[in-house]
Amino acid sequence: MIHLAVGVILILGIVLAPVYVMLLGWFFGSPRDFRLALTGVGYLASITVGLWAGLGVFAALLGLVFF
Amino acid sequence: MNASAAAPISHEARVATILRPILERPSRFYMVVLAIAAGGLLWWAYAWSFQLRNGLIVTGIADWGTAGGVPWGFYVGSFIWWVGIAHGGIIVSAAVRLFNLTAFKPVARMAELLTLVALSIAALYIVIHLGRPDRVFSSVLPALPTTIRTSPLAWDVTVITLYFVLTATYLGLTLRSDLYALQNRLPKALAPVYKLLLIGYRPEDKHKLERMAWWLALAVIVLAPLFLHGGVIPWLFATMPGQPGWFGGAQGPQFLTIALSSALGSVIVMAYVFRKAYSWQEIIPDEVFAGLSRWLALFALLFLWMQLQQNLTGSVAAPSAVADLTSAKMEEPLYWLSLGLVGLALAYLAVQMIFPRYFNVERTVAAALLPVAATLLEKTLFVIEGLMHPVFRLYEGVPGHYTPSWVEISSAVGAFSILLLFFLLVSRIVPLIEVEVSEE
Repeated sequence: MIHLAVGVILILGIVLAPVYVMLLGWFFGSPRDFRLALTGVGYLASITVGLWAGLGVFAALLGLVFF
Repeated sequence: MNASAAAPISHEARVATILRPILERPSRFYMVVLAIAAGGLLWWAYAWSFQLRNGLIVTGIADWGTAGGVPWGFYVGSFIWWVGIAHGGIIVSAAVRLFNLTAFKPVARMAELLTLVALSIAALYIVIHLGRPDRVFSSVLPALPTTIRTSPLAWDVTVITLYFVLTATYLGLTLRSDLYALQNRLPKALAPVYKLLLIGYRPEDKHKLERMAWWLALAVIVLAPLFLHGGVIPWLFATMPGQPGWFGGAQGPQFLTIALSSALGSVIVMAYVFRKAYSWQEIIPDEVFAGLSRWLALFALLFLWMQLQQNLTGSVAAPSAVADLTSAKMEEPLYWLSLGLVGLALAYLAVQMIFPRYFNVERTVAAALLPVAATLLEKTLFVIEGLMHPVFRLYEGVPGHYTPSWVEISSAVGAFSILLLFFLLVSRIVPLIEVEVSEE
């Protein structure tokens, strides 16, 4: 059971820990500004979506041309 | 240290110098390099299309079974190498912000951009290596919720995405205040681009955004060295008990020393290229190269130290599979060439540190190139040797061999062309040096 969950613990628990600290700093650090912190989260989300969507379009185009 | 050392220049002259690549007409040299890079990219596009039409059989990569040889080669070695290069950028920049290493401020943004493009190239290598790129969406992504529980490959996909997103966000946060401050001086033709980049920007938020960038730098400086190049990338290999050349906890620190050596070397080379191209001697003075080269010497020393650890434990009284692997590595001239290049760079940089009067920027840049080349060689050999010498003897009847094909070598031409094109184009759109920071 522990073996099955090692990746979840590793990624969500350990590797992402610095990102959790960063988000806590954005939302609760000084100077505090929830609007800007949310904008930052928006950046993270939109860049993630943009990155994968871009790769998706690229892969789909290659699929159309070659396969 | 010779004295192209910076004479103080006014803020106005400094800004004008920084904006030179954006405002001046492209030189003939620029156009020639642009044409060469575009040609290189087209050549690689042809090579990749050849692979897409005919399959991975056109590479030197075999199936490790009945065909002999190895299923991973130059593509995976290059992937590791480009992720390593990506390190230099954001770590230099984050260190500037967190530890106030003001001497390196002039190269911070260039280094961030290097991270973005190097990571993109690294990801592209995985897409190429998959054979059919649509497998990212037909098998890798749908399976991720399950595979992340046990697969280091799934961890890699997750953390590289995270690293790219954090770097792009960091760049966005720090770039916008510069663009806002300079918007009246930037080319009108690119106004829509700047408008897009400045959506939602309020100048009164500048110090809050700076603080957000600080928190982001804190996350990156832990995440990148410890969990990316000292983490998920080596764990791809270190968790495989069937490959004695890969297995074990030493891979994390070893990968990190190799990545930091290549990354610092790349930042030094890139800073020199821009300094030379735009006559930025005042903006990127000799002291920047002297400081970076000291860090490079340290990382090169650690690189060799980790190799010593592995080779010693693999040679003295090692289990037979480890001894076989170590012996094969010792007999490979390219491995010694790789160590020799790093050793040579270390020796030169050490002499320069002991006798500062011998400091010379051009020689420092030449020395910085050595670990950059050596690490590509070392990483490719690491991948191949690990697969060639497994613990089990299942495939001994079909040992095979591996040599990169012209298609694989062409990918290196394509990757460097992408790097060149990226910097040639970006340098004409955004300031490559933080104007606001340099003002302070």
